[in-house]
Amino acid sequence: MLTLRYRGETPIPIEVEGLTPSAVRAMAAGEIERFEIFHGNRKLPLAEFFDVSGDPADARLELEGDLSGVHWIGAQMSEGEIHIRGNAGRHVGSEMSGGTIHVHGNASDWVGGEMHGGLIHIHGNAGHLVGSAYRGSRMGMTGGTVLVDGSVGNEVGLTLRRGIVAVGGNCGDFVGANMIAGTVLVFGQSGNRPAAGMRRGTVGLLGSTPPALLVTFRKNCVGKPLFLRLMLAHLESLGFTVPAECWDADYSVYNGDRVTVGRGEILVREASA
Amino acid sequence: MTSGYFKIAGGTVYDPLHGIDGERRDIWIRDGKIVEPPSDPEVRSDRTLDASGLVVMPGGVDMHCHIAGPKVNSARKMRPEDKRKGEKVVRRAGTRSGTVGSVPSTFATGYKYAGLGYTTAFDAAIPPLAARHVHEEFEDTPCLDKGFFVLMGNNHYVMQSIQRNEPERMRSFIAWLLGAAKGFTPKLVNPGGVEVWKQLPSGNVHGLDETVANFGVTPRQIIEQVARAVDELSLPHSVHIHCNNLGMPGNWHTTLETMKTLGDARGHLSHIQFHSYGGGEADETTFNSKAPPLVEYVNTHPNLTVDVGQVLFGETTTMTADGPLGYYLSNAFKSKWFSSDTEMESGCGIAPIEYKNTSLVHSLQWAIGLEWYLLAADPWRVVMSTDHPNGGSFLAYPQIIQLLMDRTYREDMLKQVHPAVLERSTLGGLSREYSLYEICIITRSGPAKILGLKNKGHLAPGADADITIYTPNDDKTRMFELPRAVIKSGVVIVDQGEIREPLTGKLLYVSPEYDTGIESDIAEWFEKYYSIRFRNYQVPLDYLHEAEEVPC
Amino acid sequence: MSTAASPAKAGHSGAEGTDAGTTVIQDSTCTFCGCVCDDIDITVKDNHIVDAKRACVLGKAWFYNHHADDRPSCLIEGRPASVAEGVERAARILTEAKYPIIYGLSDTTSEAQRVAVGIGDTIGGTVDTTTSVCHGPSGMAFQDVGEVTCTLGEVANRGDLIIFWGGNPAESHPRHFSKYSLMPKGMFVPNGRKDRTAVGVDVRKTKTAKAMDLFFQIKPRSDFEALWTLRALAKGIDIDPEQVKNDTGIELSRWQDLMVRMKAAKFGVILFGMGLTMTRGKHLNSEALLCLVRDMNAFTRFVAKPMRGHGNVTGADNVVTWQTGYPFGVNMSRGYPRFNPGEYTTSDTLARREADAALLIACDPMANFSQPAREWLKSIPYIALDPKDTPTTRSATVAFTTATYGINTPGTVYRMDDVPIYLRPAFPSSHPSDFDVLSAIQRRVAELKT
Repeated sequence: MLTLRYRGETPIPIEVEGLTPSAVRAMAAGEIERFEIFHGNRKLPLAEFFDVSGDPADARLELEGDLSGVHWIGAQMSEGEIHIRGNAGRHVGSEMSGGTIHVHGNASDWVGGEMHGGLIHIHGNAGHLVGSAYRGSRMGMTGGTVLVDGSVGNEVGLTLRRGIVAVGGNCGDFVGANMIAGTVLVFGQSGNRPAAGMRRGTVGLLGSTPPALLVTFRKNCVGKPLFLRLMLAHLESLGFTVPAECWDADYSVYNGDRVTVGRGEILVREASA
Repeated sequence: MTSGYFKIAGGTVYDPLHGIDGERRDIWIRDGKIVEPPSDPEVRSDRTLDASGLVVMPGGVDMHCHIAGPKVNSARKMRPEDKRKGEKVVRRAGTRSGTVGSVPSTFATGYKYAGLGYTTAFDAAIPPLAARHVHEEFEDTPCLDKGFFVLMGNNHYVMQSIQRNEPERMRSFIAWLLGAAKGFTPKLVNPGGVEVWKQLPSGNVHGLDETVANFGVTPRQIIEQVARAVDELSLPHSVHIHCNNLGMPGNWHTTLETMKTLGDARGHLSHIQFHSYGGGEADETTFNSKAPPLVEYVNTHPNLTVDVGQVLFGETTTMTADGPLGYYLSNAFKSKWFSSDTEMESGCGIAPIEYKNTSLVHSLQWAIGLEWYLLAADPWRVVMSTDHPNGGSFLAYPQIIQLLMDRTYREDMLKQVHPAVLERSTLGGLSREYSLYEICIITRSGPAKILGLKNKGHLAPGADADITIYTPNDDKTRMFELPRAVIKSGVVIVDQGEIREPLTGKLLYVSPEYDTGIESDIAEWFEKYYSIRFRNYQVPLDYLHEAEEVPC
Repeated sequence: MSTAASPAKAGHSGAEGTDAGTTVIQDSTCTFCGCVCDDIDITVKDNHIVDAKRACVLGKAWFYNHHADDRPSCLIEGRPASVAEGVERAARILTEAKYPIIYGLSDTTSEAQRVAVGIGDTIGGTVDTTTSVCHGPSGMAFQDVGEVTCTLGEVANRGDLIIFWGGNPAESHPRHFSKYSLMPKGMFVPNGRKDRTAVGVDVRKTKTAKAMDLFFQIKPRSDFEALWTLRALAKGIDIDPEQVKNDTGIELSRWQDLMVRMKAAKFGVILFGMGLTMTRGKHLNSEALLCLVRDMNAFTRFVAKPMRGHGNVTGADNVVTWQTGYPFGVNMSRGYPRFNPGEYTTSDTLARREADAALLIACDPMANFSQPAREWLKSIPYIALDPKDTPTTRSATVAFTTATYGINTPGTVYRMDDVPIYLRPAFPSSHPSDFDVLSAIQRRVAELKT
């Protein structure tokens, strides 16, 4: 395990793309210390901001400290594990294709931006655009799983193509907007305009007070969808806490968004009898 | 004591305009021009570039591309995703940063073209209302001399003059408009069709003899009369035409009719590949190549020239002044869509596209482009282009060169495309390989001649000292991707892939004579319908950084 | 590195008619709002504009309130200094910074904007414009779905159903109705106003509402639902009338009637403003509108136009795009452009304290940004260029008083519909232009960076 203790006290963005388990795996300590990162427009060695210790051979990185100003942690990683003991900045796990990232704190915007595979687990809150596309992209996330124990902002799963996003707390507006397929589940409260422009896929609004849906969603039926139980079990196996009431609840299924091909669904948890 | 001479010594020179086919020669440069060697043999050059064993050609001339103006800039704006993962142009001490993707930013455009050995480029379609925008972008597009074609095929004054049977008035208007915008020649894009698009949902013309409502003219009339006017004005370049029905199965009929309509008048038909399709009524399953009969017509009619508009597989952006075409493409590919109608003048459509070698249509498009090159009898009249970026990026030009020069490479690619190409086109049976001499013609000497640029595309005294030096390589893509050196106006601007001196380049324009009496009529019409003032429309010469008028 | 010709060279003063110390300049351009009217005849006497024929109330205020003044052209930390000293100090601030930002740019010429972007490139900074607090969301929507639009002359010549959504042009763009959207007797709209139906959609009855044939006073923050209702109606989708009324505050039947009119129009136009872009939903509000307009083109010709505010904010979009590939919020820390609204946009880089220096051109963030952003800006060294004395210039480390574009300096601007127009200045100023100051800064930062 390679430990990187963050010493930085700067609000100027620190960007660490390329610092992945695969990249550092075969590097000697000195090389890792000289790894180039950016502090604003200055290129600096990693050691300028981090104390480096341990051995990267097992493809596990531990970052310690308040890294809310450190961005692109785990971007494009393909294997291994990253644990952040503290907060993390923007673009955590952006475009990753494999491996696992745990943030034992909060993360900022663009967690899992356009990721292809792997697992991200934010144990605190995250920002806007979790598991989403970057501006202008034809599609967003194409695989993998993002779990957020706390709350998140707007546009979760924007233009999601495939994969799973689960939010234990609340989410903001436009969850699953322009979704192509995939699954987004929100266990707390949701903001407005959920799944606007959704084509296929599933958005689960599983909190106690679901929001109003757009007029272009139409109620189909009420029931206990089997696939949801399977999904909840899968989330639990990944270490995500599923509220007890979700297992046996009834769910209303709404189809939409009918302004598009409209073969998606929003699941709304009905209050227990 | 400097002599002011720069000598390129002992290169293997290709200058098809003067019949020079790989001869070992020196080239002398002075004050930005190619000159005779000094009469006094004692005079030495200040600088000598030893080009022994290297191929020396005039600088490349791209006579049809989309690199500046509102349409191109809207495409840039619309596609951040196209650049995010693409190549980055990093800032250096003497050069600006930029982005590439399918629609590069301006500095990147200049550097990349220069990097391929191009020294002149013409934007194919500009609405004159936006002329200043183009001039500004051109100033930020270094390393190239530039010009643009002025959209007129849906211009209200032009159509009105035709309707009123006033050819002299139309001719004067064309002359005035070219001078006002500082453009190079009239461009007809889907003549008449864009006006119909402005009037009706999915509006368009489908044949040369359909009448454009409210104007009472047909595409055929527009084509014939503008072509005639251009020849009467003796413009250096002919009328430049994007035929009606681009992309439609069966459109080869429209193309042939357009060629016939021109009669003996000069005419350049652009991206002809997109206009060479057989097939039934909008039925893609019968889609097939009709390049052979069209090539035959061009072969036997020396007044006609074409550029190919080669398609290459991969993602790119379609952008055209053909408004209805943009709509059609975005619906076909379910992609985002930009459209803008410019008052009195033109339209515009932009949609991302991906050409796939698994697609029958795309594979045929690719094949038809190659058929044009390989069947054409006269390389002077068939110019290389991708209609950048519509068929592909100009960055793919070296690959096209390899496809033309290396039959094996071509056949390998043919094996990977849709098999129907073999039945629906003649490409499978074409074994011709282009020589360096012919490549030189289709990438520089030919287009310079077609544009009427007497100082470009050749290496005789009097020419602008725009020269590209290549290191010979059997891998033609590599050879043409990385010139050894590029000289622009006598200055080495690229040296082994590094931009050394990004000159701004000059604007090439025409300003034909016309009866100034017409101006009051134009002004009256203008003030009635345009949303800016007549006096604010024209671009004065002092607005331009450096400009050269090409005489008519 | 900029090779732009100085606009001062491309003289275009167009001064005509002189009479006892007065000069009349015809076809002059007003840059106060995005209408960029270029038909203003201004009369200048003693370096003061005394008449501005055809200018609206905003334009008149713009022209009349500019006089020659003898404020210092440069203040360093509040004390008068030479421009050269100011340039030197500015260049040092910018080259020493690790996250310098350049912001504003909407009220200056494109020639100056081009230099500003070049400075951003050289210093590895972030370039952003007032677009990011205005129609940036519309720009983002445009990147998602595209846009169907036209130049304003098309609106004048063809538009027969004109919808104003979330804006108040009667007060923000006073000549828009008469010059472009409602009154003109156009080629296909020969009877002008009589041939047009004007529709307003807003949360309150403004002066614009009074000029409309139909007005939809929607529930606040329900623009998205209203647009979605119209999208559904366009596609013939069955929707619940009670929900529509509840969501939008307007009966379904009224929306249905509007859709009938929209489909019956020959050339429909929706002009939209901050009511969409700056309320909850933001870029997705704009996107809903752009999608509706795109959908409508299956039935008839329809276009959308964002009503741009400042005179040359459209120019800023264009210049930043052609030089970098992206329209605003462009970071060049790595030596090449990166784009991400919300990350590189100025309200964010200031509020999050990421910027450590700033170059502010023709803007006033100290007057209108959020509290955290203003507090942070005050704490970092920054340079401000402005013809006026503002809260922003007063707290600047280096403040340049510059000549006013269009009144003192020539140059190119882009109207809200991307049409480029050249300025005819009225009288010279003793102050340098933005172009001059920025060019000097650019030369100096280039030297310092090598």
